[in-house]
Amino acid sequence: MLQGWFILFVSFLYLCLLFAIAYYGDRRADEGRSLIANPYIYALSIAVYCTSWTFYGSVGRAASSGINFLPIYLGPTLTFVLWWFVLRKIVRISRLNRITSIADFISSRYGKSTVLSGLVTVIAVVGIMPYIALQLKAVSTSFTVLLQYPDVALMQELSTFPRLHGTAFLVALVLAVFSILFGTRRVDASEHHQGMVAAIAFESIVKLVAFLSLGVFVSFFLYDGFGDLFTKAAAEPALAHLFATGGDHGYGPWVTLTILSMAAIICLPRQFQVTVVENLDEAHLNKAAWLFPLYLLVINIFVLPIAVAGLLHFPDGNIDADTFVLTVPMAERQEALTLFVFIGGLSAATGMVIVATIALSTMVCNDLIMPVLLRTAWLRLTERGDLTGLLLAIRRGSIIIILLLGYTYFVYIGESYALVTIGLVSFAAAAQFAPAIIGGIFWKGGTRNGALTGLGLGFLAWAYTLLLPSFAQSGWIPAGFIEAGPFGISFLKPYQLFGLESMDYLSHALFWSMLGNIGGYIAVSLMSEPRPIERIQAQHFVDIFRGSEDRSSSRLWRGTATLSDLIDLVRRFVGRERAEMAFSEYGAGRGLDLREVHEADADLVSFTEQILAGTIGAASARVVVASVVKGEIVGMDEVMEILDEASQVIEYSHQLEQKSQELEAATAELRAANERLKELDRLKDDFLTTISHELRTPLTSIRSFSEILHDNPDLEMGQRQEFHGIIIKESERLTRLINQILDLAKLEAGRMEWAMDDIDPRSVIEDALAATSGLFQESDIDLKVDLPAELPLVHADRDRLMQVVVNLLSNAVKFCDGPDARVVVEAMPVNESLLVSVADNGPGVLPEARYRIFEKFQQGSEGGANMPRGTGLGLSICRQIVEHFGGRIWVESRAGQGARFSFTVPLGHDRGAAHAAQ
Amino acid sequence: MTEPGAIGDRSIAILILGVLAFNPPLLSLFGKGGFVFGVPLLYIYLFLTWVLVIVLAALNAERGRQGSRSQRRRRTPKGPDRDG
Repeated sequence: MLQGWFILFVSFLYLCLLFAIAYYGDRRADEGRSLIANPYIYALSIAVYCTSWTFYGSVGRAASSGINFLPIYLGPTLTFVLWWFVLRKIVRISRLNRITSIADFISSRYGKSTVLSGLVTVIAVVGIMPYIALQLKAVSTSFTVLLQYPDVALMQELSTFPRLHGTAFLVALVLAVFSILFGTRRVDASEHHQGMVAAIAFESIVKLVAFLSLGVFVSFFLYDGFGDLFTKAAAEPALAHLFATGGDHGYGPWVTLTILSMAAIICLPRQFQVTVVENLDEAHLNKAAWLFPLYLLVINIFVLPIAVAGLLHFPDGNIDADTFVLTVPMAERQEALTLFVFIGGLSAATGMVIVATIALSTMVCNDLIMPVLLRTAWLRLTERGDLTGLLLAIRRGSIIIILLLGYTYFVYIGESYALVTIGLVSFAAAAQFAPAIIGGIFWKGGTRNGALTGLGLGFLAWAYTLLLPSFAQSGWIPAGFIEAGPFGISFLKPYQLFGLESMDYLSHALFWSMLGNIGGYIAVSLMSEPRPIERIQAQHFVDIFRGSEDRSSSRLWRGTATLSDLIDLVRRFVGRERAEMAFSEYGAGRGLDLREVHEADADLVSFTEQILAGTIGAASARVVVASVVKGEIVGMDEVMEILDEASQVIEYSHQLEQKSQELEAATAELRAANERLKELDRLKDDFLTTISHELRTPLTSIRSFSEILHDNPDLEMGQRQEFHGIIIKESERLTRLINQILDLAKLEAGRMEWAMDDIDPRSVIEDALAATSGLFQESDIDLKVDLPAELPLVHADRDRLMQVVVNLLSNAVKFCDGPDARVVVEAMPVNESLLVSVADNGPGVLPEARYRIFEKFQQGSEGGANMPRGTGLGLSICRQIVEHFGGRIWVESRAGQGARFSFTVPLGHDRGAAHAAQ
Repeated sequence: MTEPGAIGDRSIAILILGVLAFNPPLLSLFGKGGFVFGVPLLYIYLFLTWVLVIVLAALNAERGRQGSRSQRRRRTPKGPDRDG
């Protein structure tokens, strides 16, 4: 069944399905109902990271070095853990600046330099070409292996088969068509290729399901689960090293691979494309931050089991481990599964090729070819008519050329290398971008010259230690280059440069390239003076989260341009319709009638630059805009001014924020104070009412009885006596009331005269009891006095202290009624003071009134109307007096069970101190 | 202001955990060979810690999505009853 034509037919069907999905995805996008606007599709599209290198190569690597295939997937997990710092920032910067590729990103950061964007593009193309070749090789090899069905091809045989490069060529052609159709539909490269992303996400599902199916088949059908499989493997001593760490070079390769893959997940052009350029919504990162690592984990679970199964199946070692994924099911005669796995491998390969090609072609067009064309004066490019056609033609041409180059590389070099080795060469190339990117978004000091130096040195070191040796292994240059060094100079051996011998070749390459890269970047950045635009961009990139609507970059244009010039320019690069739409939207957004605008201001020029940047990249856009704007770009002094201003504005707004917080706090305090004042005001009103009433009652009775006496001179003596008694009593009450008011006023004003001395509290309490004994007898209240035999002296004013005790006692009498009314007076020394308490068994004090009753003008008797009323001043006076002595007064009470008023007075000093106090 | 804050701090902590777990010396501790239920110890160790890192990252990212309020309500302790 698995004949050549059938395999080709199924592959063709699969590719047609891809076209259909991409077409559907684009159509949905045009209708505004995006198919891919959710974090799951986004995460799946990032899984383009898993190429045929993962699909076939991981098993191959696991078969030779065990768990050492894993760091390539652990690294990205670690990077994605840091999404909040790194990815989120890159995505935000790219969205605001309409970044179209990684070259665009780096050149934008370092002053929109065309030289830099060109260098990045060259590194990317040279570095990624082997990777594309690798995918074509995987397709070709897997097809060849599959063709031998049901025989399992031996490794030696494989190279003797007619080279079926035709398959790879065919696949390359189909992919070129796909990339052209769905990668260059629009001229605006910063727009999203939704159809392409939908197809890539679909491919990610296919490869995952295919790999898992094989894994489940191998682990649970061929063997009885992991335990069984590994137990059988453990019986083979030759396989023991697969389950342990370490190896020829210790942990060096492990750490190197982790670092490389951490960088690659951002710096590979295709990863930058799907993660950053194709990102629809920053919020999708939240989920992708763990979904993508989860995908990596799931697809890797069965790698080691499949590798082990392959080694157990083909113990002779004459089957290429890179093909285990196919040869194991083939050996088991699982036709359908084999075919499905082949399609999975195909999807892994095609996904990578498509995205990488589109990303590279955008870079080649925007960052390499366009700047050259624009600068070539005799072409007068900016003065020509519609350029959109030219742009698209360049991109389409680049796609074809890139794929052809990849194919050529595969034909002439690819055969000599295992999959993983080729991939690692590309990883190391992509990692060269990491210092410029990471430095660029966190360090304002990085300059264009620094980035150029770093990238240049890193690239050279990479080429010498990795690329040239791969040429040598393929026979392009003499094999002695590796073994003996160029021209026999052993000092320059590419795998032991300058005699550094202890490292594996990859760590060795990473060390030298990063030494040159990071070292050059930092050293030259520190020594070189950045140009104005570099400073502006540095500030803009590093502080992207501090005010994303930063307009300082627009002020870089000081010259003038006419609006029609600008519109004309944009029209030529993005097409008439889209240009006019963009400008009218801009006008509408700012309430401008563009028909009346003649001279374009700096904002408008900057807006033009942004639209163009989305199409031809930041560096080219700058060149183009500069060609129509008359006048100079601002100088260094003005830039410093702009930057200062920007940082001042940030500082100022920060201060404002703080101020407003302080203001809020102050307002809250004021409000509270105001409430308190209102409350006091209300209390005062209440008091005045009460006092007037209290004053009027005795006055009224005095007056009325006086009138009776006056009008009736012939009253009986007994009655007259009684009336006189009432008048006297009421006058006394009046006097007492007025005295209290005066006392309180004095206390509050601090004019009270105090005769402080060490006094005997017993005599005070006994005097107070004697003074109030009449009240007790009158009300028939049982009084119990409990004073210890020895009471220490206290430091107080005798009269005032007595006033307090008397007040508490008369209060107790007032609130105490009923047949078994009882008042208990106690005193005892506590700590450094004397505690005196007066307890009654009256109705008690309501909990909410417990503090309030010590306020002036407050009555404790609001709870019941039938309670006797006082002046509302007694307790307040008591508190003032006790606090003056340095003690406290409080009440404990339970509703219905009486109240217990207590106060403390500090104990007396010794004699010397008592004198001093006076 | 959208500066890192708690979600950033936590992601740094998870990164440190991952770097420590996925590298020697912890890695070599589990890399000496040996089997648990027939499955290589190293294999189990790496995948379990990997799962742990992903779960922590997921919790962190999803919590960040809900915003960073959730300041617990402060309860004012009841003061002593007697205080004049």
